[in-house]
Amino acid sequence: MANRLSSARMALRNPGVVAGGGILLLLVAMAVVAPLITQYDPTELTPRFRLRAPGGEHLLGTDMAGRDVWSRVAYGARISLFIGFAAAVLALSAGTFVGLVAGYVRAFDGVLMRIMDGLMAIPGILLAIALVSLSGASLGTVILAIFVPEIPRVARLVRSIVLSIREEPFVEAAIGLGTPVRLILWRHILPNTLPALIVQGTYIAASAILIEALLSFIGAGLSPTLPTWGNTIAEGRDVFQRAPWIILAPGAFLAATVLAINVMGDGLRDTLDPRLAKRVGGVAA
Amino acid sequence: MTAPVLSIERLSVSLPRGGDRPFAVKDVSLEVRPGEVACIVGESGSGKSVTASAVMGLLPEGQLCITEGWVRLVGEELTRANRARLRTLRGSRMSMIFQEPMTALNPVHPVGRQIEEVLRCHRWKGDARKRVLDLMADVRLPDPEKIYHAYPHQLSGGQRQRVMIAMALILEPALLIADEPTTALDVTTQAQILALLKDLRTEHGTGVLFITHDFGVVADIAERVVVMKDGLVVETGTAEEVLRNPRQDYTKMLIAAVPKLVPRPARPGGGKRVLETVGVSKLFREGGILQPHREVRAVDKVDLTLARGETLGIVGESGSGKSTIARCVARLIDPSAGAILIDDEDVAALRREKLRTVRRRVQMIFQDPYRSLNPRRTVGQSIVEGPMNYGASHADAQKRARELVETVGIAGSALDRYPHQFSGGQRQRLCIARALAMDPEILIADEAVSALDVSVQAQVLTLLEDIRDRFNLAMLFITHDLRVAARLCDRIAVMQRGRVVELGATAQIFAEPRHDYTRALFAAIPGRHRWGAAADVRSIA
Repeated sequence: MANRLSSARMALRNPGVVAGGGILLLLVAMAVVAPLITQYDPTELTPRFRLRAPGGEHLLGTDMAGRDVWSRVAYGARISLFIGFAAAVLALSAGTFVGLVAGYVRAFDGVLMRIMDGLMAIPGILLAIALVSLSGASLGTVILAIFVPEIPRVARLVRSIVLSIREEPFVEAAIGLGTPVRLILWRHILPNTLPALIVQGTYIAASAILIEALLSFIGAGLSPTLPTWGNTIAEGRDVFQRAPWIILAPGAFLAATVLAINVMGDGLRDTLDPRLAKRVGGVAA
Repeated sequence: MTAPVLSIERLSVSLPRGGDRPFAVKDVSLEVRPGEVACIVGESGSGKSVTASAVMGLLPEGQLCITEGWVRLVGEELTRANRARLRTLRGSRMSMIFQEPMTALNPVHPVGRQIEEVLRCHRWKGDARKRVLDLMADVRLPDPEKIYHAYPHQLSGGQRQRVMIAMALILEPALLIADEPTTALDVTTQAQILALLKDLRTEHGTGVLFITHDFGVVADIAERVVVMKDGLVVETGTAEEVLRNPRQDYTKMLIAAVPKLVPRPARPGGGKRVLETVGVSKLFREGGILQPHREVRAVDKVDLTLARGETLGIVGESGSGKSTIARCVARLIDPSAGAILIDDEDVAALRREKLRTVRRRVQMIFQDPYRSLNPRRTVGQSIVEGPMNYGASHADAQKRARELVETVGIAGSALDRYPHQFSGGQRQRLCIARALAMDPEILIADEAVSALDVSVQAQVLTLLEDIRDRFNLAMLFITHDLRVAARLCDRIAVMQRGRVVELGATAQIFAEPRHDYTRALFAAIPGRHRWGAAADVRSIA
């Protein structure tokens, strides 16, 4: 046990984490430097160049309005990745708060978890469409619509971990040392939920990116003027036979992003989640 | 001389690279003869379980592999045997029982069917059901017909272990490997299972390879002893030789570390009384709106007193309520009835802020050293937490923590390290330092040495004794182990099913146990015949 590797180094030895994380880093870099690696404004309408095939001046061709597909993909990555990240962080924060309180304070447990059950009974995508159509589609409402349905799952996960950790002797020792409840939650319980939360966060990010694309595709998402991957795919639907690249290019990036995040999540789960991690140690006697 | 059923010659098993040592076991040689019990005894990490797994062909694949040596089962070489052959041999010619019978049995099938499955897997011809019932009677299970249909959770720990033994012996194997089969059991149950194993190996002529950490068990059951340490065989011989005249220092040390069953001499009492429990009870309610209520009276009207500088032992088996009363005193749970007087102030019903001032005066040390320190905080952070909750400055608390860590025999630099960098015994010392940082008046040790190896156990007991005297602490010492209680406690309370059945000075209880249950506990202590005091022998009617 003495030379146990730190969690971070263990994670970096996992091929899934390295491959998924590597691809994700490339995608983030592409999103950040989008203006430098594209020649065209992703929203600039140039009808005379419409439906150009990939190659030449337009790396991935143009769409029906003559907009450069490569530009739209690169700029679209900004929106997709931001929504994935924001939805994951918000769902984790809210779900962790609910889960900690429900798991530790017996009095709130029943009420909070029944609310979560109620939320879970509504299909997430329906809830998202309802929220967006009620309040109009903006970046904020789309993120809200995506992260709220994810809260119950996080809350349940955190609550189950809290229920087992609160019985650990080190938590009882802290109670005996007179540590206030909020500090017990913050110091002793929250850090022990982090590995599971990081793993859960990757799955939420991946599903958020997919749901955002889906909302855009069915016209319930962000304004069609924004170059999201979903919007681009939706607009290419009618001309798929003549210009398949309009759908295939953003579709490929969407698939690659989700796959990279999920592969990384699986790798992190194998190395971080203590309930799945194999016990590393000396010889059992 | 009969041919051995098992002979292991110069067996070496390698560990994966990056381990503490290159070999799990090296150059291990031993023999088991028919109808004989050979004990492998050693502390954690000695390689005793790996040896057993190697014989059974159950080493985790890709992690541990046999690099050298031979294992022969009734003359048949096993290290070269293929999987199919090993599978045939397991169950029919060699079988194994484990420490925890609850996890070794499948919870969703009746136990009779699970025993029968062994017969079916080996295509046994005959009346399987009758054979199972016969064997269940053989292992002294009451009412085999009824137990045949019972599920594991409906049986007691001892009954489950008997089921495991029946399953292991049903095909009359030549060799039975028992890996700490009584460690998870209560002491009275342990005595029964040991007696059963002794009878069975004579009745069935089975050779038994018995793995244990407990020299008391060795003294009771073994004909031959193999002492292992760090993967090497330290000493081999007949039980009589090894126990009477150990040749190696390590063996001598292990035997010396077993607390003798001699009560400590009485010490002058007369310290100021700090704790008194008056009729403390604790009821646990189960069930809810839809299920019928069920009440469990875990602690039933317990009256105890404790003075400064004194150690009161609470001894009992699992389910006796000994931990529950400790947790009531520490106010980790709320007692259902009764008063807990600390310096004549009733703390049983205190709430929040008032309770906070009491908490600092009562500190607790827990059983499992691997779970009682937060793995994500440094040792220093864990120790200063308490004093800082009560307003100490970080610098003061840190200074005091350093002193205390040195008091418990660990270098001050330990404060910046994490719990996983310490051994079990060291962690238990750090937990003691954490408790001392609060300047408590009452220290509760709940099975604080039960999870430790016997040599480490002796050191931690000495430390507890030392700090009790140095800080003039009142100590409540909860244990299932009468040897440990004899070593440390001034007075002992024996608990059974929530009640204190006997309470008195240690020497008096050892000399003249009055309650039947106390006598039964004494009679069940492993190795009693070898290391028991004269007074103890007299007490067994």
